[in-house]
Amino acid sequence: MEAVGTSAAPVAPPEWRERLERLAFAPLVATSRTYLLWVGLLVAVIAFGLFAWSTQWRDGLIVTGMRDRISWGVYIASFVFFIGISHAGTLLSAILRAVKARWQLSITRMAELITVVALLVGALFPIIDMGRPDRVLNLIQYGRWQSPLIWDILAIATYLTGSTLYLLLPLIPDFALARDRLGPGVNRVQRALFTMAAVGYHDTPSQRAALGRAMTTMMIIIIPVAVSVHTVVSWIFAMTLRVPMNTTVFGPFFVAGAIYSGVAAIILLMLVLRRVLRLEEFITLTQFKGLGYLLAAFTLIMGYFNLQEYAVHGYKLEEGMPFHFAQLMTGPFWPLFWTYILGCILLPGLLILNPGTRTIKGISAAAVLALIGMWIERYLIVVAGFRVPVMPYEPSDYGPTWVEWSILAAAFALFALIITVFTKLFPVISIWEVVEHRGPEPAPSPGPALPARARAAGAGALAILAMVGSATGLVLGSQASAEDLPPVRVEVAVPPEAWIGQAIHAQARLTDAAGKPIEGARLKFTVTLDFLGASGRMAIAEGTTGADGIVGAEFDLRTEGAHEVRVGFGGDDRYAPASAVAKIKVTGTEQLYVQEAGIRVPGLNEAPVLGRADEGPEQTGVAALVARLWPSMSGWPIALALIVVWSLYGYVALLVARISRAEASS
Amino acid sequence: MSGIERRGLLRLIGATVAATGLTQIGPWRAGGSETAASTATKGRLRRWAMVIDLRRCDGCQSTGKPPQCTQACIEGHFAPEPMEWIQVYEGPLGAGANGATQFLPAPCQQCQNPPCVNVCPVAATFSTPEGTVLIDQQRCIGCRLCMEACPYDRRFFNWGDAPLPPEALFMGYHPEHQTPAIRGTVMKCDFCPDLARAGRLPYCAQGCPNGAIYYGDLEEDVATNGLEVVKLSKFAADNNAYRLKEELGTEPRVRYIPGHGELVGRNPRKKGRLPTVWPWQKLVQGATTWKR
Repeated sequence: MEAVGTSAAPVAPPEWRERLERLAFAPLVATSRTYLLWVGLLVAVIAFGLFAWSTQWRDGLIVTGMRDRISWGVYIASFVFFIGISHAGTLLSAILRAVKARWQLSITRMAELITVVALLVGALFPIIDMGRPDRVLNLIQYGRWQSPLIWDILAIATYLTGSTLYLLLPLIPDFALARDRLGPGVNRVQRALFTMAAVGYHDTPSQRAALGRAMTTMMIIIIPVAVSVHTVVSWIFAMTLRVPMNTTVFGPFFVAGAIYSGVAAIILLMLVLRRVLRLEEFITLTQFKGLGYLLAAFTLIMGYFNLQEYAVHGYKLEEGMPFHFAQLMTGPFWPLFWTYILGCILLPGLLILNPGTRTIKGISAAAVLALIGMWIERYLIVVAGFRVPVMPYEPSDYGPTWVEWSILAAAFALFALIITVFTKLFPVISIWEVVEHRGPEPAPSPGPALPARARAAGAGALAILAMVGSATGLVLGSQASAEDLPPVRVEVAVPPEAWIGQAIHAQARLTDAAGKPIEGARLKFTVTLDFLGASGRMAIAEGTTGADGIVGAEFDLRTEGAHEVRVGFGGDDRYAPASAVAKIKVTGTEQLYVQEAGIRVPGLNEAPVLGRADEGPEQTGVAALVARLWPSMSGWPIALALIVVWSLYGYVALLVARISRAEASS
Repeated sequence: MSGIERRGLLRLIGATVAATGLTQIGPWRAGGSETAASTATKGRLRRWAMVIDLRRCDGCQSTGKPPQCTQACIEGHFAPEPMEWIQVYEGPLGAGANGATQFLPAPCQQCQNPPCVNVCPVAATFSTPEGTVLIDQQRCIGCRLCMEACPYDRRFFNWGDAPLPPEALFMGYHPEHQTPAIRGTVMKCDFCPDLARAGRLPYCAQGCPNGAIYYGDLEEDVATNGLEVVKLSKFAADNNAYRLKEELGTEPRVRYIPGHGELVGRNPRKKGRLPTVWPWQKLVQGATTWKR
């Protein structure tokens, strides 16, 4: 395994390095009035959001605009949005580190910070969206492996842990630097923090090697974890049987959208911190261009996925899709939809691909558009998606209320506040990595190559959906007056005993008074039954007599007990009605109807579902715990993946411990 | 004493009796395997099902009242406004209908591969051995994933504090009748297995003036609308019964016999039905309601 942090370092001029350290550490030492004002503003917004939430807590979700038919709204859209933003750190730090790009080193710290903070904020939304937030612990007590929501919780918890580790690991040398350089300038709390977080790092070769190994491990493991997170986030939609959503493209579509918005978020944060913290020398057009090219690449990927989504649906136009297309393109969502497609996918791409606008301003504008667009896209997926009627009813409408907007604003404020506070706790530039891998001269940008032309997406075709009709028929019966018609005789032969559900062969014969068989008469077999308070003759078979006057019938009886099978002749224009009865005893205790509730995938509906009395008494204590932890076949892939990821986290923690021990022994 | 109040009192007495008999959270939740009340005969479990004869459903146009199945359900379960656990949709009659409509009373379809049960994160909604899908509102966390998963629009959320008549508050809670409603949880048609075990039809089948709703047991292969008893499989097969959205593989327990009310003399071009009412609404002070 090749470690990242150990490659030979070009020598950086001391005064350049000193300037970098001074600027990067500046916010840790001094606090300006603007900073305090900014924090105050954010706290005020958050406080108002908390007030809005308290309203919701008091009155229930009725204070939101959500209702039964569009029962998810801004909250879930924002959840998806924030989790998407969190992909920034992974892509930049891990992927670009893995391919040994160097230009991004001065911004990896910001990217990793965004990841952690966006996850923290995003994970709040499902709890805010819950009807019973007081029962959030039920998710642990009764959690089922089979639910996409539990996958979300597992994946986000895993990703949050991993990205926190990945944020903290490259911080160790910088904390050590802060510990060693910022003697009197910091207060006691900060010093204690630096000393603790530096875990006794003194840049010895063995510590260096351990750190490098730890970072390489995290770099590799964090990529699949990040992909899994947004895939399962998409699955809370894709696993439903709703028309615009039950598509297999949702996983990669969401991952691409996540990275798209994540890159945009870094560009924006870069722009702000560069200005506020005066890092113009270290964050230059090179970084903006590098990220801009990535953003442009992802406009193409997003365009491709949208083409995929709308062309495939639009060509077939299955039921519900004409409605969906109409509401998006010309209906109530048209301003949002076209803003998203033209303003937030097409325009950012053009801004970056056009050399004239490939400036810091142009790229930042593209990033802002991309962020707006991705929020719109999440909103459209949730709200427009659930607006498509699944039954014949008038489509309902959704408009977020002040509570939802306030909580959303508070979430953005919280996002900004955590980042603002973090700039006080550690340098937002990874000093040691920048020093190690880059001299004072900015390296020529090795931005990813782009295809020369973007493909234009075609609009979906329109067609008329034919509906399947159902033929209906009228049943008419006629009865002749039975008086003074010649009488007939019905004879019936039924076996005396049968099991429940057994095929019973019975015969009935219809003759006239002289014993001559009657042909072409309709005979009906019935059994008298009591069921739920109703009592009546239940028709079990019927037939028309042949030339010998005989009707054969095959039926089964599923009610235990002694029955009288009655064969009736309703009479016609030739003969009077008549009937006859035969006794049959039906026994048996076998369960005949054996359709089992639940999905047919092996194990998907097992152990945690408590509703299975057939399987004997419920387990308690340790047995129940084990049953819940190791439920079934379907749980194993999830469990296996979690074990692999978390053991690698454990390995990284071990390496950190080794760094700490190395100091103790030296 | 007004009619409504008197009825409420009677129901209160009945409900109290029912509640004492059902203090446990249902035979399956208790974990016991022998559930005498739910067996058809000697150890055989009921498999509740429904056949709705659309030929007999005119959306209660002929009665001059709102659909009586929905009304009976609402009054029996104290279903909060605006929940119609069995809802009478009016949809197009079919290809080439040219504006003709059919009424479609839709209770919870009681799927055997229930998408809602599959996605529930806390097993608050569950399949019973009898094949009904119930919700434990005392466990539900209100995430509404089941509502997104349901392809039949048959789940309802308590967005606020549901308006309930006083007597509803005295009923012991049980997933089989879901009363009283709990804010922030999901509700739906429970298929009334508690009534069936007591030898009575569900409220909707009792309420239907045309006998369009047959309630039955697939195990015993019998169903009734209260007027006649039919062999369920034969009745369904003889009349081309179908299930809603069969292609989704949800395996509903509710079957429909195609029609548009022709057996009760409905003209398929006569549109509209009266809106449902929640009669105790005026009895509850300061009740909050919402729209679907």
